[in-house]
Amino acid sequence: MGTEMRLAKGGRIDRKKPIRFQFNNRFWSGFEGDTLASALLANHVCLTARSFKYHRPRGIMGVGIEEPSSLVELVGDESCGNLPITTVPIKEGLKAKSVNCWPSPERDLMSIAQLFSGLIPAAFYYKTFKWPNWHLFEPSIRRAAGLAEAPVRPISAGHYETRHDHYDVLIVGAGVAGLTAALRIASAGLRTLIVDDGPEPGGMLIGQSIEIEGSPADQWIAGTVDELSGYDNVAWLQNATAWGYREQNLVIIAEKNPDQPMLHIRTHRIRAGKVIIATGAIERSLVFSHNDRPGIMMSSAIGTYVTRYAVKPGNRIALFTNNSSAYSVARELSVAGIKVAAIIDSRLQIGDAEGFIDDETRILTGHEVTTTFGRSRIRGIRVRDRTTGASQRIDCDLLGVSGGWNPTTHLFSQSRGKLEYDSDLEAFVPGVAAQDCICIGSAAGKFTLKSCMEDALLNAQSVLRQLDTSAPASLIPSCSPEPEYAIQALWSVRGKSGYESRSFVDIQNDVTLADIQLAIREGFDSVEHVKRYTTAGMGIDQGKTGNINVIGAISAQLGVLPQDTGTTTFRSPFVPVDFGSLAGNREQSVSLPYRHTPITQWNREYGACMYEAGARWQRPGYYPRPGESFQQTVNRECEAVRYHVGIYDGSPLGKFEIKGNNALQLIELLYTRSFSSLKNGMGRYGIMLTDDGLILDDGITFKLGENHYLMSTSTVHADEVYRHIEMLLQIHRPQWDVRITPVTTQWSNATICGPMARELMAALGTDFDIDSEAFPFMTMRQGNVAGIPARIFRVSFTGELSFEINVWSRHALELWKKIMQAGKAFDLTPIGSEANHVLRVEKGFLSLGHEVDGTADPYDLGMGWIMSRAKADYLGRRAIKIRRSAEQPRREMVGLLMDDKDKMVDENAPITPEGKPLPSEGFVSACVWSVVHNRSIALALLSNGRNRIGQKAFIRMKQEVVQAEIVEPCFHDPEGQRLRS
Amino acid sequence: MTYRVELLRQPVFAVIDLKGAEPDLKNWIDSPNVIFPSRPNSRTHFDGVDLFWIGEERWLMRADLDQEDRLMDLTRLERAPVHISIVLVSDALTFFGISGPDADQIIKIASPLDIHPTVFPCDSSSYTEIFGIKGLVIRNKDGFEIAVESSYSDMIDDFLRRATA
Repeated sequence: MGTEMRLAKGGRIDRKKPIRFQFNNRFWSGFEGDTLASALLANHVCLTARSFKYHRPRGIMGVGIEEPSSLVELVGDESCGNLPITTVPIKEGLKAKSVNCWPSPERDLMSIAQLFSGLIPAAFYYKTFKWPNWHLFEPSIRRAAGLAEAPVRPISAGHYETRHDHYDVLIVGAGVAGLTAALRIASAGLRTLIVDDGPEPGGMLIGQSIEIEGSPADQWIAGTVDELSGYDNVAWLQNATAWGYREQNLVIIAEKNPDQPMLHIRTHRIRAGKVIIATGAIERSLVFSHNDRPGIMMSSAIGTYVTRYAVKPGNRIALFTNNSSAYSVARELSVAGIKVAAIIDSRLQIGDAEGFIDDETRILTGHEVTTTFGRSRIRGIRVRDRTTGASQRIDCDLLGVSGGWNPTTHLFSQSRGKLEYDSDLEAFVPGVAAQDCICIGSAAGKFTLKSCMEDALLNAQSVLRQLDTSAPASLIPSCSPEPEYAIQALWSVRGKSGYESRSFVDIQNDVTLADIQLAIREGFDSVEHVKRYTTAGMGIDQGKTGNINVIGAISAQLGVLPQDTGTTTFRSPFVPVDFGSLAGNREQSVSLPYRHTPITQWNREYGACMYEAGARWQRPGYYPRPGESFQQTVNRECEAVRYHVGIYDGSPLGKFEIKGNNALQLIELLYTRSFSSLKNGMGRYGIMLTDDGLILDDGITFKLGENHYLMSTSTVHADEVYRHIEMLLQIHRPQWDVRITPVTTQWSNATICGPMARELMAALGTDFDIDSEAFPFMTMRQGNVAGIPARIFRVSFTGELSFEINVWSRHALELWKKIMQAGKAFDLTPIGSEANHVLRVEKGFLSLGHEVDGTADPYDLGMGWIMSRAKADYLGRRAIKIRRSAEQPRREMVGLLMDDKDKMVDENAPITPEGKPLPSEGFVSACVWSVVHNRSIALALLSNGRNRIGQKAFIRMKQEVVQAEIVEPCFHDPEGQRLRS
Repeated sequence: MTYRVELLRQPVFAVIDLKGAEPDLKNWIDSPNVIFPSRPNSRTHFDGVDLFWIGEERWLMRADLDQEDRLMDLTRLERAPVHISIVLVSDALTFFGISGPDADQIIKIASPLDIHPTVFPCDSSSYTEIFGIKGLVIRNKDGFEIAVESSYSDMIDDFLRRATA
């Protein structure tokens, strides 16, 4: 079992460790070291998938991350979708199944789509499913199109981790070039990280019969790895793929199966002084009729299956190539005792060194494969003489194709480096770098072993010079002789009528030559447009094997050179990445940041409904009692404040100490009104504008001493205000002597509010006079409350008599409990942010995110009085002046009283002329149930609103139009007698 | 095997935020025992007090909480002249200790700061990001300390326990 196609010897598998696994509900066996692909090939499984769109039979085409054809879904404990079959190592208990098919690849019901393939070309969906709308059809189409479903549960064992690190040099790829460069860099003592995505270092060199320094390549790899592991300054990540290259040399790497068993995938975010990209090259496919049948494989993949996994992927092998590299594969196969029936080479002439394989291998130069035969597996090929047109059939069960090699420039391209077309290589190679990185070896278009090593050493030396260091000289190792790489472009093979719709340029996305031609006929003739029109180069493999053929097909169709067609920009991730590894440690309770106050836990225990109320603070929304509805709770809390006394935790309000010789100048510049006359111990309300004259924040600033202030800001914008001020001081006024210290969490705040607040304060005990004349509105005192040192402010957000008691946070819970104890005699009620919202709406106080929506200035909110005319300047003044000089109608804050007093309207509901479906003239910014008036009330921003007071407004709700009277935006105590009491 | 670390959420420390020109602060504090760090992003330790140089003209002075009155007396913060700023921030910061052989791995998870010993040796201190939040990292002989605004301390505690679970 599992040995049908396994070679008797060789490979990098451990034959002493057999492994059983499941694929498509059947048990199979392989060995440790096998991938799912190699193990299935060893079991002579050829049909492994169905294609994405047409559900054509597909097999394994590649050997690594480039695999375009067979995707699998892992099920069970490590469920995961859409993995290239070639990247899944087998292990005991592995369960995998094919994607894009049901119930199995052999009997896929959706294969009926092949019958209609002519009717569903590229962009068919977007042209056809337009009425009544695309979203009606989208779910069924996506279901039919396939790919795996997202796992319903997280992985059962282990978790994800993200970590950061820094290195002088990051080398991506531990193939021959990466290892050669690493030796040189490491010997200079630089902090070096080597990252390689294979299970072991060596890249394409592993298992090859070529010699380096007179020894097998494997020995050279082992020796080099040994030498590198002796350096303390070298770190190594194996099984780790660099998939993203961001700005400032930040490279993101996903490490599978890291050393910590509790980890599933570890993401490394590496910043490196220099990045050496040694990612090798990817062989590309050839485009001809029926080039996607199971049993058609990249030539190099055949070689790798033989040398690394001791698997013979077919019994009768043919190779179709347009370049010299397929001959090396044929030689490797010959060494392993596997005969190649024929090599079909599209070139008319080949070099002597690449020509002879053995006596049994026919070499047909100047020939091309026009089509293939077979269904669930290739049975033969039609070969045509390119000169005479004569054709013949050759039987085979495995066809290796090689359309040449593309440097793996994805990371380089992600770094915004420019690619250039090399007409000798018929491939895009790295050009001008945009960041501090360099491509070496095959990734730079060096496709022979010797040239790879030379290039690696040369560039390593250059990196050392750039980093101002040096290392002992080293020589280029001697290698087995090998032919120079030679290629002649072959973008597609013409076949019988209709061949274009069976010639696949992008195997993964089922994009055919006909699709490309259709796109161009319809005017989508840029490579970017063709990509979007046909989906060529998208998806999981990102066109690794097919992209260049798309470019070639476009060029051929337009009659231009590939360099004039250009490339699309490669995007990250280079390989499929789990969402879990993107999230890293941010899962469950820490998915989003959260903040707490010293009272948070008490609130939870008291039964408050807690949720975020801006700036990540978890705050009590309301404190329901058993049997109460939400509205009943909010009403009760509001009534407590209006008629008795309430308390809330105001700790999250932003607080900043501002001090310095220019502190007053700073405050004068920030706020629209003047603070110059403010006396010590007194506070003043201010509005802060952005440069473009819109409200940024509001708050009260108290004067603590000469050029010494305590500024409070909104909770939501505290951080933004801090950044705003720092920007101002560091960039625009660096000469000013001002120091700003955030003290938001140094001071916690319990606010007592309501007509009985003063009595409660007296009951708590203070060592200062709290009489309204001795301690008037907008003043502060420092003293003791309930024996706790405090700063007390007479300010009000609710419109009622209020005392904001600020204490050091370590005392906050003690103070809170003392207040609750003393408050029992006054029916003290803790209130949440919902009640606070109602109370401020009744007062017509502005709220950020409601009336302050990023478009409003103080005039719009009826606060022209806060715009100082006496001050020389303040931020935003000029912008407001310019804007208002246009004398265009503005949306102004007004109150709304719905004709039906019980009617509540939605926040953000539009207001339109007579409620008709016309452009809105404003919107409802807030609507609450007023306990004072026992009815619904609302605030709105309405075009030319203040001049329309007394008129009607029409609010468009989803099901109805609600009529309301436009009124002044203050519903309670407009003179402010209560808050000053 | 999990990471070999010991996490400790520290009790409140006495912490004073000092801002101003170094000569002005030295003149104001006027104590021969107070040693300012000679290199940015480092600390000195004297008399049970840590002094961290954490930014341009910015320091943090830290001691055990029972030394708070002594620090306040030493810095005379209530009477500091207008050109220097001395603010008590003891309650604003929560410190965590991370010690053990794998402490550096936890810091690499938490922070993008380069903590290689050649770059960030013992007694280094720097503001950076800690799990996406502004925070202070300090390298000690046996590991690290981190400090964050206290409102985030529960979240950081949560993060640290997850990272080491």
